[in-house]
Amino acid sequence: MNDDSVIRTRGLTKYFGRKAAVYELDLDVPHGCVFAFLGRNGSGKTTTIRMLMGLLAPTRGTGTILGQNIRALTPEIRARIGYLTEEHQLYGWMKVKDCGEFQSKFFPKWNSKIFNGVIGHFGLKPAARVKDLSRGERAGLCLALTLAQEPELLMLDDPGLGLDPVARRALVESMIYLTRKSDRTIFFSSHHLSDVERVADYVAVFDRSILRACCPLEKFQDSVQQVRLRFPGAPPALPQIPGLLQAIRTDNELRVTCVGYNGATESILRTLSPLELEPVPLGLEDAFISYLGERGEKTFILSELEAKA
Amino acid sequence: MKTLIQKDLRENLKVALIGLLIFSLLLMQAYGSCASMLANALRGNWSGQVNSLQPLLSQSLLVPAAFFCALFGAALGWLQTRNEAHRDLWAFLIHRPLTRTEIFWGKTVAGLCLYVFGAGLPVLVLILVVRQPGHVAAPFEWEMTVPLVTIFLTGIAYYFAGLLTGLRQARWWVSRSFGLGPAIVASFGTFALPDFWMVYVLLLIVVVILATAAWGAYQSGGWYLGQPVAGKLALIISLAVGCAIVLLAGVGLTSGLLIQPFVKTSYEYSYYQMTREGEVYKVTMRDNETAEIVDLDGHPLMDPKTGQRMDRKAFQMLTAYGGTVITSLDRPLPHRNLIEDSGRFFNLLNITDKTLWYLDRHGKLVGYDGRSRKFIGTLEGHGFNGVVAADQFLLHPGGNYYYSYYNSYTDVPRKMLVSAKTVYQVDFKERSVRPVFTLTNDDEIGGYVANEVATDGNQVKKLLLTTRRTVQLLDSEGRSLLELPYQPGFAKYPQVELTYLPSTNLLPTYAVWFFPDGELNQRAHWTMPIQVRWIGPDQAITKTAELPTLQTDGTESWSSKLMPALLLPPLLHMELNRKMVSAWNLLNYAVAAMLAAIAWQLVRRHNASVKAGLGWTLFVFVLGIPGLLTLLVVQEWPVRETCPECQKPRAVDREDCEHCAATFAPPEKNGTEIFAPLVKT
Repeated sequence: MNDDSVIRTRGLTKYFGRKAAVYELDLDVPHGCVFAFLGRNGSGKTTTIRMLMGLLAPTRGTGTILGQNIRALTPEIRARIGYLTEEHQLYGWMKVKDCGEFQSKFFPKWNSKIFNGVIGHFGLKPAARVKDLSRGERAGLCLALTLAQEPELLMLDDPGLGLDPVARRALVESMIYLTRKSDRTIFFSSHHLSDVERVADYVAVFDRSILRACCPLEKFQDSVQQVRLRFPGAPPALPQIPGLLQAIRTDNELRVTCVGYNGATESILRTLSPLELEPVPLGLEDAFISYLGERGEKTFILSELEAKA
Repeated sequence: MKTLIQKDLRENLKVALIGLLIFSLLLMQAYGSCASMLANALRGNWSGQVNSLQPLLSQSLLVPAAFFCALFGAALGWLQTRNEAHRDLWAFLIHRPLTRTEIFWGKTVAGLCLYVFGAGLPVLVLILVVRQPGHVAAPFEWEMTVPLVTIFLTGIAYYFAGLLTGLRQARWWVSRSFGLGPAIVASFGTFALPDFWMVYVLLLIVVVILATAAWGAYQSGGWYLGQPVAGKLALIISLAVGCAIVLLAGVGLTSGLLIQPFVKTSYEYSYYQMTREGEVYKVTMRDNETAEIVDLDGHPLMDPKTGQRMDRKAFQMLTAYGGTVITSLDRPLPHRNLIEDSGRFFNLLNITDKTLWYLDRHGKLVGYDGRSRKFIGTLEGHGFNGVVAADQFLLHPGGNYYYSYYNSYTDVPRKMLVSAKTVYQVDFKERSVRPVFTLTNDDEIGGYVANEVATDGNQVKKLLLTTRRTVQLLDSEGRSLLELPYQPGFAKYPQVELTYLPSTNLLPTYAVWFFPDGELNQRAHWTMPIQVRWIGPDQAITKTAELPTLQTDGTESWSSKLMPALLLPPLLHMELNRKMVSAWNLLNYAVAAMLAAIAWQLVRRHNASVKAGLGWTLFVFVLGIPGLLTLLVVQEWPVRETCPECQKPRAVDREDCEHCAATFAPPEKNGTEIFAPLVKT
């Protein structure tokens, strides 16, 4: 357990009806880092963030954010947290500049320069009405409203959603700018793994309501490994391999992706007597897809497929 | 908070403007219909409610205003929260350095300002217009604004109910609207409670409850769990009222459509009637048909022509007629609620030469010119615009409140009016007032009624009046035709009826009936008799009789007893039955106990504390089915899943199993976990 945690949860659980959206989540987010929260759609990322923000009551378990119980966040704590919601909802009748003026009245550290800078970066006209903005423009405005609060902790729920690659790059640059100040922490969920790779110090990966990974980014990438095995003919049946994520069988090749590949794993694979066994380097995206993709063996042997057909 | 108020004002201004427009049109239309009533009255072809001439008291204004204020208040509150119902917009609103209480009050202040703008402004303009001389040809007093202002204030209860409905998260979607229940009760109270202070007390209670429930919903995002205790209690009360209303409506519909058509209910009542010969008969009606007409010994009245029992139509030809006076001395006015109250301000007595003459509640005859709609002066004991303070005319002729409320206009140039001491002949055409009879002693007139009596083929106007000590009959010139002591006294026998019997030797005879006060008689278990005196031509009492009070006998079917016993809360059922122990009450207690047991089971099964379980059990026992419905509507039940240790179902919102105290297992490992210490490098 880290005493320096900005966010800490213990057994945090949320049920919607009979379905557990988040199950027994234990999480510690250190101070001053960029923490990426990954997972497929419906895996529980947004639910977790909404619970952390005190917007959704947990079914059980505890959590603190900036040292305060998430079930009773005070205005003082809220002033220290910038929160960007997933769908970038704002009051449609407001103008861009009205949104800034509105928020500035509440947040004591409001920085108009940041607000104007970000809306300028996204090419937003101050007189434009929110309802007339595109989804990406609205995301940019929401980001401006969040960043201008100069928060200690930034909670971003899929901030890149709806942004084009240029805008996303702008967002990433903003995040890098923010983390230059060491007292800032950024906790964000995303599906854009290239962005994660660029800025994140740590990743947490959710798989069907359960936290399966929480580690430094490099550690995650290092832990998910793939090896290619060549055979003279059809690959033999795969024995039990610890940490197996995927095994893809083709006519004379077997690709095995697993977590925690080590000497013991290699020894097991060597029992299959492959002609060749070579590691395949994986990027974060490949590692992530393998990690959260369908588990088990897949066969792409042409003769078998034809026979089935 | 100021910024939030400004934001909400701006956001919902459109709704308020639409409300303002609709309400203004509604009030203008009602004002116009009052003006056309006046035009009809001036043309001489009008009969209707007197208060229709004063828009502030007119039902054609008050009823639509009540509907509008309720709908507008509820819509405003609902829209104010539904605008931010999207979870991300709600998060945008909530996540700021303000407490939820501050956010709630910010929105409420804005909402109430908009309500005042949309509904209050038209009310204010209407009052100012009506108050301005030349607009309404009827008396105006500030107190007349009370009904409309009360209706306007009732809309505030609907506003909070709308807020609550918009916020509340509920498993049963329809139950979100049950929070409107207390506001509906406040509306009924506005029209039904006997005095306005009661309405205001009720309204205050309802507003406090609904505002607290809405505030509580703000604290938890609309869920029951997570609310402060005050919010929970207010929500439970609000929804209990809503459930009771839904239940009543459901039972009413079920009973009306499914039970009543197949169950015969019988209703019977009897009354006395006197023939012109002075004989008293008892007429019994059953299901609105004449069941029997019998004499006081119980012998049926036979028709001499047919030899059969006499029917009611033939009997009516034999009966004498008379007049009734209710002596209102030392008695408060019978009703002062919104509908009845509007009639107490004035009574339209006459329209002569386009002048409307009202008897106002201060006992003055005030005149309004129908064309200019302006006040022209008063007719008092000393003539038109008399300078000397005159007697006040008694307000409710005959003590019958109905006559001051509903007026069938006839153009009678003269009328007899009565003050505490004097009977006056009022000539509207000449605008003169002439005393024709005055009590010379320290007696006081308590009630009167003017009758047209057929005497020897001539219609003669006679005035029956009661004083503290006497019952008197006067002719139109104030000459005494009959005077007898008021025995047994107006305190116990306030209603006096005089029956005119055919004259014998050109000297009239009468029968005088003294009816006991209904409330006193009920308290005396209906033992106070009706007293009758027969008066001979020499004004001497020739005969007396004491007739037993005839009670209404409604024979109700078992279904009309069973349904309340099954559905009503014990307290209410006991109050209606007025007996602690009866078969139906016992059934009612048994049902309540069964429901309470179900409540206990439900609450305990879902892991509530013993305290909460006892609370809900008592609540359901006291309120019966509405209580159980409330429990089902309010409570959010946690999911239960099988405990792997003890195999019993356990609630998922506990940290451990309630049966075996086993904790929840950590997520099952599948061998692909990647965990490492998070230490910033």
